[in-house]
Amino acid sequence: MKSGQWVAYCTLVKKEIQRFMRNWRQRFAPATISAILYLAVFGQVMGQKIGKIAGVPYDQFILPGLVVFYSMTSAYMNTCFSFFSARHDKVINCILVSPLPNYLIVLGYFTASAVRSMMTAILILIIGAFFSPPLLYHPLLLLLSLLFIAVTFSAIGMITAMVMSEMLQIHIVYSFLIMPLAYFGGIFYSLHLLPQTGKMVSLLNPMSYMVSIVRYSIIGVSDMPVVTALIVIAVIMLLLYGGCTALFYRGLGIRQ
Amino acid sequence: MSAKTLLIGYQTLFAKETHRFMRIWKQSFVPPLITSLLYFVIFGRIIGTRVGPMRGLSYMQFILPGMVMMQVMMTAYMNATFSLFTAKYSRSIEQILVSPLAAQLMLLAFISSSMLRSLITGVLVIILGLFFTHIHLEHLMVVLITFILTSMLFSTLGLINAIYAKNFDDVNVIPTFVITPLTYLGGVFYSIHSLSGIWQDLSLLNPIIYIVNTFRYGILGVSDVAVSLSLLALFGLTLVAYIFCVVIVARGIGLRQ
Repeated sequence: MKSGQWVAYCTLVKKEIQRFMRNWRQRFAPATISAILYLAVFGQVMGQKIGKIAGVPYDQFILPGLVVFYSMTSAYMNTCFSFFSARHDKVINCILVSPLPNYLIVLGYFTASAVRSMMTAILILIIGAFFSPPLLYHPLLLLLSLLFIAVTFSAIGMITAMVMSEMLQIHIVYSFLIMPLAYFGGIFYSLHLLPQTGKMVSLLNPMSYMVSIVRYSIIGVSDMPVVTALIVIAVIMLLLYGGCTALFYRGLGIRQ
Repeated sequence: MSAKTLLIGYQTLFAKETHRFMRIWKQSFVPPLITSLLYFVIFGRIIGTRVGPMRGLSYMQFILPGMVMMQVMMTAYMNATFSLFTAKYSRSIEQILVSPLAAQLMLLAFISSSMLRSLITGVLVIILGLFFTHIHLEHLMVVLITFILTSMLFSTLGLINAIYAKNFDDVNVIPTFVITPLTYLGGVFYSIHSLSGIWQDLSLLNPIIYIVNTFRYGILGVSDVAVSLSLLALFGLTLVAYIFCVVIVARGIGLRQ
């Protein structure tokens, strides 16, 4: 990367970070409040009735799932919202005519979203520490998998933003794809509680692997082999990242 | 102006408002159904088997009424706020305000249209729930009254929010910081008898506890609180909210400034 490009990349990242930090309450409060509610209602109150799952109390069990859910949601929402606004207001044209190469534009958007996504994850981990003694078995693995998740969902967000035609459609992918797959990815239950067919179907759900690996890195327990899960989420991330960059080069929704 | 002309104005605005969400019915009705489906499968079924019976009911049965009310309250509130705020933001509200339509009829049109949307959503969630469990419908009148008053109350509150809102962020503040927390802590997922002393007393300060329990009483015959008193309070609250809304609109707050 030439030094000029580096400056341009940093400018884009800085602009994007400023965008969500400007009204940070609106960006971080909803996820934080929902996480508190889930931990209080299901973790604490219902947790007494549910008992231990995978050998840990229920609030400890769902914390990693909540971390995954809100980091993927904020990565998706941030990229999708920001990129669609840029398309809608035609600000994207100014970025496109600048000497910044396409792959760096994509990377700039993803970097900022990853920052927001990680910040959300850390906030939820801090909240979780108030509910049950904090555990962090493999912090580096956690960072790596959160990065993979952030990039994956930033890519989904950008592709959605390229094809959608009005702002409300941002919720379609969320309601029909992200939320169902995430909830059935084992945020609230261990795959071992499912009947055999349910277990098999869950293995086709990429989010099972994401929840599994994050749960392993936080509480040290996993539903599936860690190496397999890591490979699966790395492959998914590379495919989506590559796909998104390729679509950007073809100018889908931006140079048409 | 004759009653008939007045009615035409009301009907037109009601039709326009209803058309607004029916045009995109997939986006209006499918997301709440998906959310409810996820809760039914995950909490009702998978986790429910570990929770065991709650107040003598299966956990799936227990959460059904609360899930319905949760969607009814949220839909009524969000529809009313969003719709009126958009009209304010795009200034199309000015065309309604200069028309000969009386202010009260304008409010009623907004409220009844939001009520319709939330009631449809509520009925759909009940139907969805019937795939997972059965209900008795113990007290039909209680069910209907709670349904209608709750949707009216939250539609009216939504309008008040929109009247005071200055930007799109203001539209989300109350749902995020007030309604969602009060709903989750409002006995949708647990009986307040599962809570320890101080939390039980604190819960009784939460108005949504009364709404959820009254509705649950109507459907399943079980309640943590006194039902007739709750209905009375719900009626009173709805009336107060409506009068407040009429007064601020008459004074032109937020809409004619």
